[in-house]
Amino acid sequence: MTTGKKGKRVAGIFMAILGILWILPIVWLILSSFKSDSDFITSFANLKGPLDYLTRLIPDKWTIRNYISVFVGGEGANTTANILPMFRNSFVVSISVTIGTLIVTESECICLRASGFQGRRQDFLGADVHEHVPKCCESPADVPNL
Amino acid sequence: MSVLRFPVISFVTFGLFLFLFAREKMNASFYNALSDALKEAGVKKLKKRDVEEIIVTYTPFAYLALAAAGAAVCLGMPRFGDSSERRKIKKELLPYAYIAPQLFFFVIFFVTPAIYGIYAAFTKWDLFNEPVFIGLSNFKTLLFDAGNTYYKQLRNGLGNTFKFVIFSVPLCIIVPLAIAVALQTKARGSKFFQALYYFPSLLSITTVALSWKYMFNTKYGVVPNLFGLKTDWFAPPYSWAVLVIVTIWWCAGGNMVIYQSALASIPKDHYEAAAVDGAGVWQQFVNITIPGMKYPLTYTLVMSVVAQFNIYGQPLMLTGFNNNEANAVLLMYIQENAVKKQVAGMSAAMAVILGLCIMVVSFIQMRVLRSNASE
Repeated sequence: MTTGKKGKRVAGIFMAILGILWILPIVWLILSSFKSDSDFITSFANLKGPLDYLTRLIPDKWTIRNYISVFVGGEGANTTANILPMFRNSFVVSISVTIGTLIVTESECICLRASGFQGRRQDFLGADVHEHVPKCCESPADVPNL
Repeated sequence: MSVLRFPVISFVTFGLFLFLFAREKMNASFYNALSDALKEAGVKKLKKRDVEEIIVTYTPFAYLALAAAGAAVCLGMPRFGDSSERRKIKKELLPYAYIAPQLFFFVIFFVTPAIYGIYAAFTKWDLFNEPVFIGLSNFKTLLFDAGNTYYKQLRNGLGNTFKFVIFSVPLCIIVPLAIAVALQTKARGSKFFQALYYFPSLLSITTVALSWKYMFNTKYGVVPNLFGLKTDWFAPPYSWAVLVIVTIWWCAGGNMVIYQSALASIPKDHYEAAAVDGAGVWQQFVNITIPGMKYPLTYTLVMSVVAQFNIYGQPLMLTGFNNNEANAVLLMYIQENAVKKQVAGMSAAMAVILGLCIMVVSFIQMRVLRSNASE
């Protein structure tokens, strides 16, 4: 595509407009983590326009209470919340899945690219079929082991 | 020997992993289960249920044996026969060694459950007792028994799934394509925007759905307050918009990356030649960009349709079964029936019908797109 000055400007405006939609939930998520519970819930009631929205994104009273309660447990329903064991579990799962996937897929990829192998087409078909079946087709048989 | 290093390492790794897995199982009265199963199998006639139990319980050992056998083959082969014979055998067997891990997991975790799931569609099964074979009765109920609850569920769920596919798939193609074209101009800040547009794909569906649920909350949410539309955004006409927006926001990044690499591979001189001939931006886009991206577009179209047919997380977390089940999709019914209400046979039949729908749709797409591509 020819990228003249005009084209760049149009692209920039388009990206900026779409970018607002993409970035606001993230900013809201980050700034809300510094709000108190009641502030978090009620802060957007009866807005008076976009500028009012932007000012209300910023917490009235900054607090790191949420971050503390993630580690030591907070009030109410989340008294036992502790992020460290959950993080450890996530790490174990993600690291072992990554290593396993790399070994399995890399070795298969070598085979698929090797020209002499007779089963290439069938093997690729098998890998492809996996994507085309509803997830729940597989699940009923797994359920009793839960 | 150097060519064999890879399979050997992989088998040893698998062996180690499976050994650890077996150790874990032993702690949980593994031996009791083993001896019970053996005693039962020895005394009584071997029934299907026993075989299932054996397969379930003995798998760690099976893995271990397989890994050991593979390792033995890989290690022992160099000391077998004369050298030309050895080379020939090696050449023939090597591909199988490479696909063995993938094939193994494919058979254990995909083929077996899938076949069992299809078998379950022809049975009456409550998940705990043995499935009773009842032929096509499930399908008869689902497709023709107009007064039945499951008939209504299938109609509603499949209808909603199709609606969602029709609403979301075009946007799933157009929005990432527009973003990729805009990023391709290398305007100021495009690297930042590239990262930004890809970012939501890294979040889990729970994070996405919960944050958007707050943002569309009628009383305190951002969107109703900002635009003064204080209706229930999770009731039918609006809920489709919410579901589609959340889906696009969440998964535009994946297609965007594919389109970006496809755009980068279109030669620049085509555009220059077109510009010399006086083609405008739109003409260049239609006549050069779209044909140049034929295969990525085909791929993403088919994959997006399949992915959107499998929609589950968004309606489950955003709308649930509220509003007279107006947004309940088929996978929600399948899950609900199988696990909560324990009519697994019926829900397996539903899953088979959904699978047939997906297969038919992607088959038609493939045929149409392939015939277009060959012209």
